[in-house]
Amino acid sequence: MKIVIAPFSRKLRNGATNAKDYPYWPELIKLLKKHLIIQVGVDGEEQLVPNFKKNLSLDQLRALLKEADLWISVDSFLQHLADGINKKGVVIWSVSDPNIFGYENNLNILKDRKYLRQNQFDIWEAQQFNKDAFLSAKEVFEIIKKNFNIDV
Amino acid sequence: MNKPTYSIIIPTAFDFLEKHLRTCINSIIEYTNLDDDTVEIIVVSNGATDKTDSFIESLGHPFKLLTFPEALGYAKATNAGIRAATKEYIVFFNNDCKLLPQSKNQWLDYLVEPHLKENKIGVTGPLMLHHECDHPFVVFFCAMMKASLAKQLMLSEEFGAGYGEDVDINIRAANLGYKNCIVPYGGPHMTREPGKPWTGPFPLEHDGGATVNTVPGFDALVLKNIGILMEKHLPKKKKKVLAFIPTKNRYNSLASTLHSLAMQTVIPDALVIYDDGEHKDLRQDHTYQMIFKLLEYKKIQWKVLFGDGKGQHHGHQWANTQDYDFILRVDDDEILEPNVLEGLLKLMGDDVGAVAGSVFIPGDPRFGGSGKMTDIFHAANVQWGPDTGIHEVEHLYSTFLYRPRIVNYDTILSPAAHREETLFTNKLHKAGYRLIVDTSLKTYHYKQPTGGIRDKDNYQKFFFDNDDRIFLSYLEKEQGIKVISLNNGLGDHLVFLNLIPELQAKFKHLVMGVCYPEVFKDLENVTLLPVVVTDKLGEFNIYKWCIDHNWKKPLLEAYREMYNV
Repeated sequence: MKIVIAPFSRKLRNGATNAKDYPYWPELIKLLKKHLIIQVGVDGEEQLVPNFKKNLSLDQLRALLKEADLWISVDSFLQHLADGINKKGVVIWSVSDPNIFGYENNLNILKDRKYLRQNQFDIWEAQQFNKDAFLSAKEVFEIIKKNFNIDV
Repeated sequence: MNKPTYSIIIPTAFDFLEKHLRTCINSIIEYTNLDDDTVEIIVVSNGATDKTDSFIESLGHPFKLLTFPEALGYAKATNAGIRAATKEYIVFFNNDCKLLPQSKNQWLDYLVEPHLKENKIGVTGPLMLHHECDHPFVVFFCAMMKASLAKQLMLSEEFGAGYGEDVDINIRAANLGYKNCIVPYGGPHMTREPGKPWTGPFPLEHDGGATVNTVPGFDALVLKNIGILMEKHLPKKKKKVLAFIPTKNRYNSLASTLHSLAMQTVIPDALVIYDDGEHKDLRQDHTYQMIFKLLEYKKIQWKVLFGDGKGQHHGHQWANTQDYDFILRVDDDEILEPNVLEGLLKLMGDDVGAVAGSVFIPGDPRFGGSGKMTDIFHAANVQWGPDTGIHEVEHLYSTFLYRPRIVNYDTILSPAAHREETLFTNKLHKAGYRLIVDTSLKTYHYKQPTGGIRDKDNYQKFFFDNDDRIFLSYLEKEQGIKVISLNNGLGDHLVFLNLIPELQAKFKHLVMGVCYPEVFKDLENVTLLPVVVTDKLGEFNIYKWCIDHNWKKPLLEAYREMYNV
């Protein structure tokens, strides 16, 4: 399977970790090792897999998503781009609310609504990163496997 | 001296052979010398339904037949004859005229006599009348012109079947300095009793109601052609112009503005200074004393009105109600070249609402705008650069000449009156009037850093915000232009993209300030701008809106509610 991952949300101006960024990508990638994983992102982001396509245009990203069997992202622009071409995928949530910022068609993996931040529209620089707001890599992997029939 | 030679042109149509033409032709044969090749008779048969053509052909030389299957109308048929004429003088002769007993050529001798005795004779004939467009004219049932002049002027074919073309050519000849005169030279002249043909010492009888008058719709044609004549030839009344200069605490630059108005090649009839500032008595200042003397010397009536600080647009609205043909509005820090008003007046056709020249900072012109409302937030105004030609635009800036009492100024604007001239002139445009800019007519903008709307103490940001709200509302409601500002992340832009079809169903054009223009590329009827341009125009922050509305539903729905689609 060809899987596109967008591991990171927008880089914060204060240099802190964005509270939307999933902390267990290396573990998740290990679990998905049988598959071809393509990371998309921009300059300055950590490279997690050998195949890292940086700074693609929107049209190039759309083409890549169309070809992919699956995409996995955090709450970032990629889910909105995928929705525009009707491509279902997986979004890993933490403190932002999938009811406001997500799409029903996707597989929205949220640990618990109790972790959602009070003010969903506040700046991200004001939000502290909380690892506990995320499911573990194994938990995420099992949910994906169940819903997308991934061969492991 | 050579004998004068004549081309007699007789247009004829329909079935007038037996009613009029045969009698007309026979009288010419009887009383005109046709043996010495000084006369040709050109019969222009057009739409004839009887034996006109065969009759004329049977006559042979010097009769010539021009024949057309359809009726051409008097002017067109006669012009065909003019083109075919080969002799020195052309005689226009109606087919319902009959020469009366006379010595051979007496009638031609009468017609040619003024041409031989004076220089620059235009039209001669036995009957001269005075038309409603205030010009005398020789009636063309029997008239003579030098062929060279007739071929130069030709009859104007805009008059259709007939009526008025003789008035028109008489006036055009007179405008070139030719004299039109009645014959016999020195009189007496033709008269007519009601219901009877014209008669007099000129040996001719003219039925006067027999030919083109019988064409269906003739009465309506007469009215139409009178209108054409009035429009073409009635002396134009000089237009009255009021120069109106609003001012606020710029008494230094105002003096130069007034001076430039006094120096115009066409001066305004009156000048009003609308002082919305300190209300100084300018008569105490020596420079202004001289300027007022200069205005009086130039016969420009002037006065000063004191505003009550509510903004120049209140003064403009006052000027807009005054009884002048045009208002020339000028800012108090602008200097007009001497030819500006004259040039603007020439552009003021009946379908034009306002005209302007270029208005620019000397040495710092700006170029690139289109004059459209969709450009207004980011492109240079067409007027800000000189010598780029003549443009038709949708709004004007600063100094321009306009037609008053058609639309009103927006007096609900704040004292800053931001966008007042854009709103006013676009409303004129929306009312169906053209707006024209001739950038060769130059006004120099000294852009005073103090006073006016640059008076920072008095013109707070909230005035401009207020006026921008009014302006954006006008754009939406009256022009179908929606301004959008997306000062958000890429994801938010992509969410908003879903709303475009609904917005475009509601509005003709979207002006979008964005951070990620690539999201909206290739969309039609969308102008993309940097978000810094649009963000200051109003409250566009979707996240603030969501907080204010305690929003819990999808973001796209929030946008939909915020933009009311």
